Amino acid sequence: MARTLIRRIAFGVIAILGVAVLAFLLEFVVPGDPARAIAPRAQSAAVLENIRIQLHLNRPLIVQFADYFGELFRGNLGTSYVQRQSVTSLIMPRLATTGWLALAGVVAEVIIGGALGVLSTLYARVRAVVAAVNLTLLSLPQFVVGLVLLLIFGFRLHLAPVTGGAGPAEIVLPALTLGLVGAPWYAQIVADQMADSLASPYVRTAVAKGLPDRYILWRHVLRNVLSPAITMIGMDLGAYLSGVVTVEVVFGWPGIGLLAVDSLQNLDRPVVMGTVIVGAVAVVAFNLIADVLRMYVDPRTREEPA
Amino acid sequence: MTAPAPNIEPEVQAGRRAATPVLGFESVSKYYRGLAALDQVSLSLDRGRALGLVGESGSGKSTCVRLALGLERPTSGRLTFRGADYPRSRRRLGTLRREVGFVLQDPYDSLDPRMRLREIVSEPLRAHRLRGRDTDQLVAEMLRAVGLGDAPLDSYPARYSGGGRQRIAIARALITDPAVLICDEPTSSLDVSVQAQIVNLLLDAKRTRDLSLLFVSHDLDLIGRVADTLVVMYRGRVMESGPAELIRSKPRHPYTKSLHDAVPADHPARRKMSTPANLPAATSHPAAGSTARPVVADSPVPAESAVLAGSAVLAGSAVLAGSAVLAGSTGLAEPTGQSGPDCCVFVSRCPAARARCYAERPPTVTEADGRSHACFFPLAG
Amino acid sequence: MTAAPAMATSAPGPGGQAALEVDSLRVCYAGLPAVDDVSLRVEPGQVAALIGETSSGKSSLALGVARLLPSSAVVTGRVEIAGTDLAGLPAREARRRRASLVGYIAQDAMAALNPVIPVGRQIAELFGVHRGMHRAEASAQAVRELARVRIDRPERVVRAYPHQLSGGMRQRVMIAMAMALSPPLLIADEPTTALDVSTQAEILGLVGQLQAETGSGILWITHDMGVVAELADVVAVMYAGRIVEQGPAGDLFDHPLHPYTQGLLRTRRDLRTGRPGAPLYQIEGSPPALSAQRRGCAFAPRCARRTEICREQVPELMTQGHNLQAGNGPSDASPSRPLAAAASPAGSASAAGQAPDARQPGPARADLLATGWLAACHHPEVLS
Repeated sequence: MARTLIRRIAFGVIAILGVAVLAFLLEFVVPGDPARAIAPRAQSAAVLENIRIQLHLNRPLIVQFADYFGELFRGNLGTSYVQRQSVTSLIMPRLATTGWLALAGVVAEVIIGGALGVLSTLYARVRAVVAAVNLTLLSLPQFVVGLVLLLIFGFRLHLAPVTGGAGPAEIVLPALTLGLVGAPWYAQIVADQMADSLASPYVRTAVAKGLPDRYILWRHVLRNVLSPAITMIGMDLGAYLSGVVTVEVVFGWPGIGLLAVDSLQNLDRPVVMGTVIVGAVAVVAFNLIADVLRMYVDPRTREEPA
Repeated sequence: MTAPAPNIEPEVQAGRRAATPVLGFESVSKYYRGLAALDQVSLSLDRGRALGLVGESGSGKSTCVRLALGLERPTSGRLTFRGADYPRSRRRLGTLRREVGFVLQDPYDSLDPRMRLREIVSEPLRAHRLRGRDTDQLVAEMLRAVGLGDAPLDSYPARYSGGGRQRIAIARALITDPAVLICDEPTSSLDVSVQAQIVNLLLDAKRTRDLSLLFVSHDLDLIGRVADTLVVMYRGRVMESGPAELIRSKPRHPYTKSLHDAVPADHPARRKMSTPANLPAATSHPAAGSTARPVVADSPVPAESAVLAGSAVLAGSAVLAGSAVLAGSTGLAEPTGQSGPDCCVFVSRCPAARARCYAERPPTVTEADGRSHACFFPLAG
Repeated sequence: MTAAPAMATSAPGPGGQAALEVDSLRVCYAGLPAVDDVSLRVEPGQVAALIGETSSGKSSLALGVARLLPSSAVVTGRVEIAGTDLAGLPAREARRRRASLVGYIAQDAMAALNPVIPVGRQIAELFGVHRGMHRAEASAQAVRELARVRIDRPERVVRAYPHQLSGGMRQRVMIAMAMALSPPLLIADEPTTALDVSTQAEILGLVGQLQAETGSGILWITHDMGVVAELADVVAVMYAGRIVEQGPAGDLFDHPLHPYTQGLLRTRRDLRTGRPGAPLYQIEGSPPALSAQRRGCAFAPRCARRTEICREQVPELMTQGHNLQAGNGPSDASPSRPLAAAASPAGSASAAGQAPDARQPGPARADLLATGWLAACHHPEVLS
C-alpha cells in the first residue's frame, strides 16, 4: 500500500510541475504588454521600457523561466505587478475563502445528490421524477442557476444578502448553486452503485441471514456506495479549490477564482501563475486524500494490480 | 472430417513430416513481479499426439498456454516450434500463429457477439491473408465437420448453447489447418452431457487431420482418455510426466496420487471422503486430537511445518495480484510460487514429506519407460 | 393437492417433521416455468442430492425453497421447512425466522460475501441480530464457528477480507455462516463446482463430518455424479424443470431407470474406465432452453428409446418400487403404478370429488414411500 501511495505522490508532483510549465509558456502566447497594463497612461516608451527592465521582462524566455522556477522551488511565488504585494500574501486569504465555499458546495451536492439517488433506488415511483430533475439540473449552466437563485431569494424575497462578502449568510446561495449543479452526478453514482449492490449475491446472502432491511442498507450497501462517491468528492474539492470562477463572479464571492480573473485581465502574470499553481496543488492533494480514504473504505483497492 | 487445406507452402508441409517435436518447452520459467508462475518447465509434444497438462489452479498451466500461443515470452528457457525457437518478430509470430489453433475455456467470452458465424469462423483466414474465392465454402465445410452443418452462416453466437459455441470455436481454430491445437479446459464450462461430444470432436480432428493436441485440464479422468502423454503440474513446476496410462495406473509422485484420490467415488458404496474413517488428516481441527502428519523422523523437522496442511490452493487472480493469500485450512499466508526456493513445492501438503524435501529441490529423474518425476521419495508401483 | 412422494432411505428418518417438504412447487419467470411441479421431502439427518444441468431448474428450486427469489419470479406450491411455511408468514417475520430455519450456501463464495467487510464480522452479525449478543460476544462466537468448519487459526482468519482467502477457505466461511444458527435444513447450491478437485474433496469430507454432528437435513444441488456418490442418501434427477427420477442413492447407481440418469452414469463410467483415445460415450443433443410449452417428454429429442407416446404425453413420476420389494430385478417392472388412484387426472378428480387437477394417493402409499423409487418415463427399464 505504501508503494502505491508514494507512486501517486510522485506523479502528482510531476503533474503540478507540468501544469506550471504549461501555464508559464501560455502567458507568453497571450497578447498584451504587462508594462502597459501597469502604467496605462504612460506616454513615453522609455517609461514602459523602464518598467519592463524592472520586471525582468526584457530578458530572454529561458532566463525568465529559470528565474521563475528557481524562486518557485524556494517557495516564493513572486510579487504582483499591480499590487506591490507578494503573491502568496494575496492568494492565501482568498484560498481560505474559496475553501469554505468549496466545502459548503460539496456538502450541498452530496446531500442533494445522495438523497435523490437513494430515493430513486428505493422508491420506483419517484424514479422518473428524479430522472427529470437530474436532466434539468445538468442542463443548466452554473451562472444561470446562480442568477436565478440570486434573483428569487436575494432581490425578490430579500432572504439573502445581495452584496459581496464572505460571511455565513452570504455562503448559502453560492453553495446551493454549486450543490444543485453538482447533484445529478452524485445522484447517478449513488443510484447505480446502490442498484448494483442490492442485486448482488452478497446482499442476497444478507437477506438469507435474516438481517433487517435497514441494517443491510447501512452496513452492507453503503460501504460499497461510498467508494466511488469518495473519488468524486476528492475530484470536486480539488476542482472547486482551484477556483469556482462563475459562481464567485455572480455572487461577488472574494475567492481565488475572482482573483484569477482579475489578475488575468490586468496581465498580472505572477498572480495568475500563483493561482494556477495553487489550483494544481489543490487538485492533486485532494485526489490523493480521496485515494487514501478509499483505500480505508474498500480494502480491495489497497494493492495495485500487477 | 477433412477440409481442403488452403494453399500451404511446400516447406511447411515438409516441416510436418519431420520427427522433431512439434512444440517444445525447454526449462521454461516465467516470472511475474518476482513470483514464479513457471519454474523450469520442460515438455514436448510430438506430431499427431496428444499431450495432457494436468493441474489445479495456480499450477501454471494457463501460463503455459499463453506462452505457447506467443502471447508472452518466457523469462528464461527456450520455447520451440518444430525445433526452431519461437520467433520474436511480430511478422513471423503471425506465421506461427497460423499453425497453432486454440480453443479456450469460456464459450461465452470467446466469440464476438457482434460478429456473424461466417465472419467468426473465417477470421483467421482473413488475419493470415489466406482468403480466397472459396472462403464461404470452406466455412460451410468446417461447420459441417463440427456438427453445425445446418447452422446459417448469418447467425449470431447468441443463438447457440455452450456446446454449440465451442463447436464454432473449434471450427474457427481449425480453419487454417494448423499443426497444433491448444485446448485450455475446453469442456470445463459445459454441461456434463455435452462434454463428451466436444471431446469426441477433438479426438476425431486429431485423427483425421494428423493434428497435435495440447490439452489442458484439471480433470484427471478426462485427460486420461484424451492424452497419450501426461504432464502433471503443481505451483509452476512439473511433478511428473510420461505415458498417460502409466502415470494414471502407477503414479510415482505423491501429488499425482493425491489428485487421483481426490476424484469422487463412482458409487455410494465406495465412498472415499465423507466417511470419518477415511478423512484425510489435512483438516487439522484442534478438537479432533493430534492431526499432525506423520513425519519420518530421520532428521529434525521444523515443528511449524509439520502441522502445515490443508489446501494450498490459491485464488487464481492472486497469482497476478501478488497479494498474500491465506492458504487452505491453515489460515497462514503463503505467497504463490517462490522465486527459486530450495525445497519441493509440494512439501506443505505431502503426506510423505521428509527433512530432505524441505531443504533441497528434487531434480527431475527420468526412467527407462520414458516417464520422469521430481521427487526424492517416489511411490513404488 | 398432489401428495409429496417421499425420498426415503432404507433407514427411514424419525417419525415426525421432515426437514423439508416441497409440494407441487412451480417457479416461473415471465411466464416460463423453470421449475415445473416438483415435490420432494428431506428427512432430518438425511442428505438429498439434486442433480441437474443447465436449465434443469435446480438453482431456481434451491432459491425458491429458501424464498430468495426476486419478486419478479412467480412461486406457487407449498414449501415447509421443519413444519413452517415461510410463505404463510408476514414478510418481516419470515425474514427474521428464515436464518434459523434454513442455511443457504451459495456457489460462488467470492460474490456471496461482502468484499469490504471482514469475514468474521459477517458471521458475527448473525449472532448480533438474532441472538442479541453484543459485539465482543458475537466475535468470539464467530471464531468458534470458524473452528467448527476446521479452519486453522480462526482468530486470524476472522479479521481477513474475502479476497484474501483461498476459494476453499471462503467456502468454509459460507458453510459456517449457514450453520451458525443451527438450522434444521441446509441448502447447498453447487458449493464445490468452482473449486479444485483437492479442495472439493476436503469440503466434501468436512460436510460429511458436520452432518454427522448436527443432524440437519441437507439439500445438495450439483451437476456432478461423483459428488452425489460421496454424499447422498437419496437422489433426485432433474431435467427441464421436472424430476425425472428419484430414489435411494445406491439403487439409483445400481439400476437407474430413466435414460437420462443412465446416460449420465454411463458417461461417467466411460470417462473413468474407457480405453484412452477411444471415443467417449456421449448423449446426443443438448439440454433444452427454457420454453413455455412442451409437448411430451422433454428428454425425448435426445432419447434412444423414444416412441410416439413420448412426444405426445409428459410422463408422470411413478413408482417402480413394488416389484423390487419382491426381490425381483426391476427388469420385470411393468410400466408402473401411478401414485394416483386412477391413471388419468380426470378419473381421479371424479373419484376424489375434488378440483380437476387434484389427486389422491394410491392405496399402497406406505409401500411406495418405503422404497420411494420413482421415475418419469414411458419406457423405464434397467439396462444390463
